[in-house]
Amino acid sequence: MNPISSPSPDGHRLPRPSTAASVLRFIAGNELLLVWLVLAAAASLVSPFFLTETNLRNILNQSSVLGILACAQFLVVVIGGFDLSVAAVLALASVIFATLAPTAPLAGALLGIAAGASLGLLSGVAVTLGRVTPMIATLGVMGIARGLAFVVAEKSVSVPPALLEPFKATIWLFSVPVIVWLVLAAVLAWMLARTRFGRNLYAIGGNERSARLAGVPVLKRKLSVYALSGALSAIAGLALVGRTSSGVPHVGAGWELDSIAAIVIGGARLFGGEGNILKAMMGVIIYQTVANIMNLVSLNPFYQDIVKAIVIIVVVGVSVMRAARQQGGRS
Amino acid sequence: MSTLIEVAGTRLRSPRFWQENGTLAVLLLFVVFATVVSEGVFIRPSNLITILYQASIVGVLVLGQSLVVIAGGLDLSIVAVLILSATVMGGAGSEQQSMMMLGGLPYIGLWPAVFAGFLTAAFFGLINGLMVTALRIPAFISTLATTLLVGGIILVVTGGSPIYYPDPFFTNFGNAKLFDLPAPVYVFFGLAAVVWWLLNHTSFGRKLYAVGGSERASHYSGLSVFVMRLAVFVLCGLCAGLAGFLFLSRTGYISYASGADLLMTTIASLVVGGISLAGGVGGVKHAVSGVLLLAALSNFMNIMLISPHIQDAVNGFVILIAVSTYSYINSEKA
Amino acid sequence: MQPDTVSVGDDRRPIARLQGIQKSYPGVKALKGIDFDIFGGEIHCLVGENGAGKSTLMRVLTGATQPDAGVIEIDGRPTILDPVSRLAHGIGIVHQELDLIPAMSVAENIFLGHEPLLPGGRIDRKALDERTIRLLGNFDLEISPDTPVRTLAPAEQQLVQIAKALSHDNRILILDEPTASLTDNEVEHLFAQLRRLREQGLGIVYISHRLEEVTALGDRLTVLRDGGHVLTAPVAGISRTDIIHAMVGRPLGEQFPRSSRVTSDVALSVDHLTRRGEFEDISFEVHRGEVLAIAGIVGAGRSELLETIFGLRHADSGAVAIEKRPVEIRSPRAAIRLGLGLVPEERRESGLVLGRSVADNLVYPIIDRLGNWLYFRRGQAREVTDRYVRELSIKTPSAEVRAGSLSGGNQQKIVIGKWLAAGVRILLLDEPTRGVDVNAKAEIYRLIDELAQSGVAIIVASSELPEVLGISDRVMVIAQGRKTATLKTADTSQVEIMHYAVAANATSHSSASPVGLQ
Repeated sequence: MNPISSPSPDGHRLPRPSTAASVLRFIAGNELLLVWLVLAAAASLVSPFFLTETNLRNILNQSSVLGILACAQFLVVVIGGFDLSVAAVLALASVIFATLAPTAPLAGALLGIAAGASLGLLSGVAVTLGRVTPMIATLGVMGIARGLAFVVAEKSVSVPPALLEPFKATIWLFSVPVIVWLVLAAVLAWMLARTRFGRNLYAIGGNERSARLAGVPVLKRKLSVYALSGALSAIAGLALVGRTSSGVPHVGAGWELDSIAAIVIGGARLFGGEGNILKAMMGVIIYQTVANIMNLVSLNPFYQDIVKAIVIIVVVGVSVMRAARQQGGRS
Repeated sequence: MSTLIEVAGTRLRSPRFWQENGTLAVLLLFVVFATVVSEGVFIRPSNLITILYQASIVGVLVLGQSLVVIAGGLDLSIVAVLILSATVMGGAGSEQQSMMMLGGLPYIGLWPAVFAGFLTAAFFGLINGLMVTALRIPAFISTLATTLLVGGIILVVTGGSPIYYPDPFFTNFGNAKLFDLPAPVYVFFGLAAVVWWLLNHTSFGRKLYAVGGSERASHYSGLSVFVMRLAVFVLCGLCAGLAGFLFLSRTGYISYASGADLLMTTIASLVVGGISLAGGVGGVKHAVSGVLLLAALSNFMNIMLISPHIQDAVNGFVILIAVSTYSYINSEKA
Repeated sequence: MQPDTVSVGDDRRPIARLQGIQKSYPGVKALKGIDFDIFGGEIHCLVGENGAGKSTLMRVLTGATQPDAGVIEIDGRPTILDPVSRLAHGIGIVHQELDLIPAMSVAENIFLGHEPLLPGGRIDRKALDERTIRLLGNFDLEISPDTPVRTLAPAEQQLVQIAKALSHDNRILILDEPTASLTDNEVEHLFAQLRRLREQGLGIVYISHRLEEVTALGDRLTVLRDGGHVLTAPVAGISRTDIIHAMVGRPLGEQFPRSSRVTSDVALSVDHLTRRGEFEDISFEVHRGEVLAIAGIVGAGRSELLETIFGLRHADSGAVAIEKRPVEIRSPRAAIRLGLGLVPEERRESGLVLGRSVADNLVYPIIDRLGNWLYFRRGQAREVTDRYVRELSIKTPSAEVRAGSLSGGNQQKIVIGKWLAAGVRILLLDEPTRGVDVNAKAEIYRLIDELAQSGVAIIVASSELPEVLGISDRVMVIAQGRKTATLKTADTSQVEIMHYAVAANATSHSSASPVGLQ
């Protein structure tokens, strides 16, 4: 560093935030928590069953698979891309695991993850070296993954429930898949906040040109992220098998959209460079809570998709408008 | 003679040539390849007609999609809209069927139902267009959301069960033949001619290419980007409606899960044909050659008894390779 | 306030010396053999008009581009520079455009790419914060290291960018127009830091249009003009006037076709037009048959003004009238309907659809008159196209060729041609001959002259002073978003225009009373 003269004698005192400011910032930073609390309050008025342990556990369980998918999607979105293949990769990994579970569960799991990572890498290569836009590249890989899933298993593969006992273990509200999800999210959160690798991802998403000029290895990072996304999607598939005791090749149609919606609710910026993964997880929980409420009020399941679609459009629309205003329009 | 070869050589080496005619060349080669491998089965007239028949539905979708893509967008909801339109046409157009439907569609007569089907398709095209232009939501997210929305509506209307008994008119239409070619093939070719006219011989078409080529320059020249984008999504919706009509004609049946592989095939055909997803380039020649190539490929795989699921994977690969190849060719050109 | 004289030359060796640097781009010789050196412990200012070659020279010095001829010496040894090795040699640069990542913190931006690490790839937060605080402290900037850059004022962002450049081990620091968004106070602060850095042996290259800064801060000064070196001298012995003369004093060699033009009624009048942050309180009139030039340096706000008139941006206040009738122009479509046309600065991005043919590009503004969704009058379109290709001498194998394959000059003719085809009555041109070869330039000047003769009102924004003097009837000078002068072309000079273009405190002056310059 340049030999710059030392700071003035009384040291530089940076303004410390006042207590009032701290509390306000906590609430503002946790607006998602507020939203959930409001939802919960409204829900418990409509259905006494909402605030029961069983139901809350259900919400978390249902959030676990989507949550891991959302982690995968979050990583890719931060770096400025999209991954439409997450659900298809989930399906592929789940059938691989389900098929091999009776004989060699560990091998099955590892093979599933390897398959996910390879497909993710394929997306990454297409995006970087092939100069294909992320959306089309992952759309192509989605087709490949879905096709392969059917090749592995023409129809659902059941796993003897006995094998999956360890998955069913539960501590209070948290079952094994939920714990796996939360641990993964925490690890990723740490990685994104504290390591050079993680911070580089935000830099690339924020201003790829500046990042490259500053010496960030953009190509390597992108490949890693897409491969990681594939691996995480595969893990989500494993979790799904753990929860449902079966591998279904056509599972998860539309879940890629769900994963995008959930992280947008959680405040991630669609064009990259911004977002907090823990908030994204909160977005997943809110998303699943809405679904849960719809079930509790016995809303015709067919209407649920329509409601979900409207929620997605509203959430994404608002997010896009906010992003546009921040950039500052022309007029 | 030698100059001829020289000229041919130069043309073959120019990237422009491959951009324009690459797919046709590959199609030709593939026909030869398939004929040889299938020991002549491929080239039988009845098989070729089958290829064209199957290509007609995808073809109609691809023509609609190409309009959107040329203008710089993308519509991933075409299959959902296809199913909904076919549901309306089949359900509301048949007294017997509408009585059976769990969700409920009133019987309004065959032709009103067909009209309603097209209207529905155009309506969702409009929704797509508004989301992209007014709300500025990226096209692929908007159209995925529409897919979800339309899917929900289909479920509500049909109660989850398929339509088995549309008015016999549809299957009659599907079986009607002129010179051994079924009516849907003529519809495809007819639409191709219309789209060709639209793109090459109208102001609208020229504006479309401008907007897709450079939205900024178009805006600076006074073209209304908003209106063009909106119009093109509506047209694509209408094509999806037409595809729904053809689907019903071909199979006499439509369900929530129909056409699972159609989206992949459509995008693959478009991309293989050489229409760039960035917009501003491409034409009917590209679209049709892409459709034919992929239909030929799919037919060949059927002949060789390759599972349809592998076909899906193959389509995915095709997309990746085709787009990479074209961007490689283009970067060389630049 | 003059700095202490620094002994330059003697037997001290410069850190970097560029000798005989030449660089050409297709159609233009950007550097014609430049010598430039920078010693440790000095502030060397680089001055010149737009296009003089300053940016190109700095690109050579930072290894972003390789010279066609000439030698680069670092510490006396011939060296080849590239974007990586220049960092190793300690050459840092702060660009004009913001090079920061808006959503990330100050500390992360400053140390992007070379964050202090703990084992395991973890970022050493403590070290990061400490070093950032120390760097920022030198600008008396009291902001927390984890403030997102996006929330800072432009001035603070600029200082963060400078801190970022200083976070490496630099021996040379290049600053390109660093004070564009700083207040006088902040400028003083910056100068204090730069002087301190100079004491410590840093060699600073300071590029600026603001001559008062150059004279206040610099030790030495180099003036470039049209890619050539004009002078290098200690700042102490030079006056502002001398500098301006060096920047623009060139014989008007080029011939500009001129004919006597009758200017009559007011075609366009603008009253107190303001757009916050871009331009303020601009008022002027243009008459039919008149060519009004808008002169000024880059960033003065001229493009923004033209785009606002054309309906691409909305003004915050003020009014526009066409032929004395007040109008509200909300979009380019509206502007075109009122007879306006714009030849934008960025021809390739905004002026043409490069992938479409010459013929198509010529008819876009009138395409709705030639057809709709049912048909297109090809024959008529072809007539129009052929006519303008011929009249404008657009050199192209055919009208069906891609517009992108034509040379810059011919592309520009297409852009102008499409407005002619649309029957434009008021034509706005933004840097119309940038990137255009000599022959096409002459043809474009002829075109403008003919247009004026036929009664079209013309506004040309240009930073090429010979061009401004050659084709216009009147000149309006804009500096920092404000009008500083309106001059009659026949009565003014390049020196006078430049004087108003670099005016520090912008107050308007009219040609009625010409300024007397020493």
